[in-house]
Amino acid sequence: MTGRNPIRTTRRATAALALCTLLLAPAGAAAADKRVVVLGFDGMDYTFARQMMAAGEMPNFERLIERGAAQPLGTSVPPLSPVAWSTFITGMDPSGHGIFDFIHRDPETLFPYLSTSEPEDVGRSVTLGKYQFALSGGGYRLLRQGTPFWEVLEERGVKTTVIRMPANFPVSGSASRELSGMGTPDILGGYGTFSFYSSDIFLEERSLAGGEVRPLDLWNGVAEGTLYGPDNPMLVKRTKLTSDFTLYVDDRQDVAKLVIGDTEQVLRAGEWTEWIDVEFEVMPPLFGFVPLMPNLTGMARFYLRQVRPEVELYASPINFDPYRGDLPISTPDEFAADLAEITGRFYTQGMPEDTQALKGNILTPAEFLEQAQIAGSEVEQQYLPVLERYDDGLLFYYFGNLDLVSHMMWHSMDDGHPAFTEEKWGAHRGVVKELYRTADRIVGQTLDAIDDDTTLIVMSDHGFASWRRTFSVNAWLRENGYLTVKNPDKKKLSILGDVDWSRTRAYGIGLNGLYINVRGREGKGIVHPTEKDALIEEIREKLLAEIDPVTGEPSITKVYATATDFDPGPYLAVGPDLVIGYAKGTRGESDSALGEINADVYTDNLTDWGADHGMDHETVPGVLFSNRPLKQQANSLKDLAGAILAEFEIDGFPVVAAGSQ
Amino acid sequence: MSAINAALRPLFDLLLAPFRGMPAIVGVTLFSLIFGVVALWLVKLTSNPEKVDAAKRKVAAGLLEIRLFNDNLGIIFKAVGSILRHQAAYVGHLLVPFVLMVLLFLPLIAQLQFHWGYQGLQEGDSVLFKVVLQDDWQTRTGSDGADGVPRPSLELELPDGLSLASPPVWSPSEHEMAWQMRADAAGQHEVGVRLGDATHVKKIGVTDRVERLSPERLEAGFTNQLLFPAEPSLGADSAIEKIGLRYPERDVWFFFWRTHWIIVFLVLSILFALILRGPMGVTI
Repeated sequence: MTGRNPIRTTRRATAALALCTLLLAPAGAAAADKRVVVLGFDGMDYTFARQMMAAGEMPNFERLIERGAAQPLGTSVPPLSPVAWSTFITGMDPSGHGIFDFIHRDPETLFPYLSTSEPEDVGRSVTLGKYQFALSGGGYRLLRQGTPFWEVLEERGVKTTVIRMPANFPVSGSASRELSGMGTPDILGGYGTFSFYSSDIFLEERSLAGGEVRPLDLWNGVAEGTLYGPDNPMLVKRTKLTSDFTLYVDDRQDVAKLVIGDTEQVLRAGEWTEWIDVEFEVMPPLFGFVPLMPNLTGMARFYLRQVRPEVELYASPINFDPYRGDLPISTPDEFAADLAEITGRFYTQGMPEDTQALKGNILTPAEFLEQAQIAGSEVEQQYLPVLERYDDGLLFYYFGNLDLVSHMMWHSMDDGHPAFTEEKWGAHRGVVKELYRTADRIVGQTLDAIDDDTTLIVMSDHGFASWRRTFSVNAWLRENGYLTVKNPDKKKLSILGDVDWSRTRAYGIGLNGLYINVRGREGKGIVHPTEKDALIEEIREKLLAEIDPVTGEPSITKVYATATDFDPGPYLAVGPDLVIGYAKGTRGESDSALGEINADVYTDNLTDWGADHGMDHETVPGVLFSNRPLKQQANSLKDLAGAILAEFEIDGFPVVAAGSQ
Repeated sequence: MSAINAALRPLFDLLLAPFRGMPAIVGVTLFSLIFGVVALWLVKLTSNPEKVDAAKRKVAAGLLEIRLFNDNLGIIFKAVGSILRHQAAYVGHLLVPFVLMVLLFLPLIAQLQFHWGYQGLQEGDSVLFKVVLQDDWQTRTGSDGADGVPRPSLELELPDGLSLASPPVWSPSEHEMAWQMRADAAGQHEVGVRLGDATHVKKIGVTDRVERLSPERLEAGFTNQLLFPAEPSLGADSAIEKIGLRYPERDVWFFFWRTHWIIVFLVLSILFALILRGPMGVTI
């Protein structure tokens, strides 16, 4: 037999590879010995932080930058958290990572969807009567593209621990240890849906943004309610999974016993439970006791709001249990359970602070703060054990509490805000300052724990501003003749069903996105591709000329045409044609982001969501503080991952896919 | 049954005292060995080894027959009939020792369940403590419910080391009064439950050691005492049906497998019995 022995050839190649590895090892080892800790405080505002530092209220930040650096950090366009964190992770703008907003749309149907991850379709299934058995599929898919910077570090032998990084669900799997953050769904598959129960017979059962209001049947001191899960995947005809609970209400005192599944707990009015298992029966057991399928189990926290005159109970969004490993939320799989073992079970949904419950007037500001405190404490309590177990390489740890609480509380410092009343908000003026003091305490703990050789970087994805005025892009497009509705007399209009697409040239979806209704791209597109650029320019000019009739100031200060102003990345087609940069103090209308067509272009922001950052990116920079000058300058989020890699003497980031740019 | 349990409780407390500070698997292993040996001894004492052996050989012969004549349906059917007949005979020969084992071991296993089946409360734990009354509690206590919804005058006498985290919730439909109770300090605590003139004591263990823990103290009754022997029953004429709390269940580690102690116990008992049947000269 002639020719090469394939086994011997493989052995030789392996030996050569091992030799190369040995030769390269010193460089890798040097990188691996380095320690860099990055603390990400979502929404930390540079100007406000510096004011707090100047007032002596953040002494540990002062300590941090004593021999280091402090600078504003340019954010992404648009400055929204999933976009900004994806930019940080990949070192690329949205054209490179494919995340342009919280919400994207299917160009064919224009149906909006969450931008960072999507549930995968169930593949083939076998049907048996009313039941179906999936043979494949059914997971989640991360939509953020590009190479995360920790993958490059791991390839060079640097261990990385990446905790709660936004836009990283399902987890990348490339870090040594990671836990997913913003973008991780609750059991219903969204960003979090609470349930609110009341025995008030006049209370209307209804859906709110991020929540459901449901009845509680109260009779002789026994109140019964139902928790709703996702559709039962085992049934051909989809029906919601349900789990019943009972409240036994004491007739003399403001106290009740909650019974759900095997759990019983007495609650005083105004008291929160710990995490309680919520089980949904997917298939009834054979003969009543032989289990055929495991139940779907999540967990929720309950809050007995009041007992009299009506019984009111709040149930948090049902979270996946970190012990069960039902979702790909950590690397290795058991890491989430290990964390739970140390500090107890925790919110696994990406954005746990229930801003929607406050916005929907289900929780009062004080109750919301209590809930946010619970969520924030879980994250903070896990930090020190993680820091203690961190030996070398990179540790990234994300804190989201500051952002979500600032959204709801920042305007309590703004007496001129249209939603501000002394009665409702006056007592909460100090809340945001307290958030920054908490951040300062965390930085202090970190400085005490690390040695002199460790680089500590504190960064944020964007800043904050009071949001006083609202701009409805779809109302503006309609007013300016770019969007036509079928029935102008209809009260509530949406681009899903109410638009005459044969006479509509542009529409808005997402907080900052504006799309041209292009023929061949949109399902009912009418604008010829050759006319698209001229239309983009026309709309851009008009938007930049917009003056808010109440303030007399421009309401829009930047408008980006993504095709020309963004990098020519491979995912440009995913995003909008125009990204609107609202003037500081103005933001896009929330319902308009989901395609609603409001009656008025301009309105006062009267919601409890009183502050935001979805504005001109130059007006809301984030922060970059470090305990030593960084080896490589980072002026914006896009540069920061490269600068972190430079601390490990590694260059060549961002990683650009061949042929993509 | 109450008298037997009254004797067994201190006996098992004593027997298991050396294992209190050890992982539960240590005691489970040793008791599996003892139970395996006792089971073999019972079989040896009460069964006929020749008949057991003959039945086993007949079953083996039937299996061999099927293997040898697997192309002859008539022989296979006959062999299957023979196997079933001799299998039944085999079970019949071992029925006496089996029944004796059940009668002897059930109360003993019930005792062990309340040592190894639950974990004690930990300091800082909050737990639901409830008292369920008999359907006719009003008659028994002479309460007329004249002031509206009938409500028993139940009171708790708490020792140091336990405190109430909530006022009571009275559920008339369940005849149940429930409190949220907090474990403040380690120890075997006794809570007094006073209803009218009668006071019943309920033990609550706040401990991380393997100790006797009783989730429920029940009304009098043979089954109750058979299955819940860890505390004496409540008096026959008590208006209280049960007093209880929920301890977390304890699993034991068996190599890389974490499971209920009874599964490990059964597996190990069978294993020890199989290993020791030769040396002990027992046919099973």
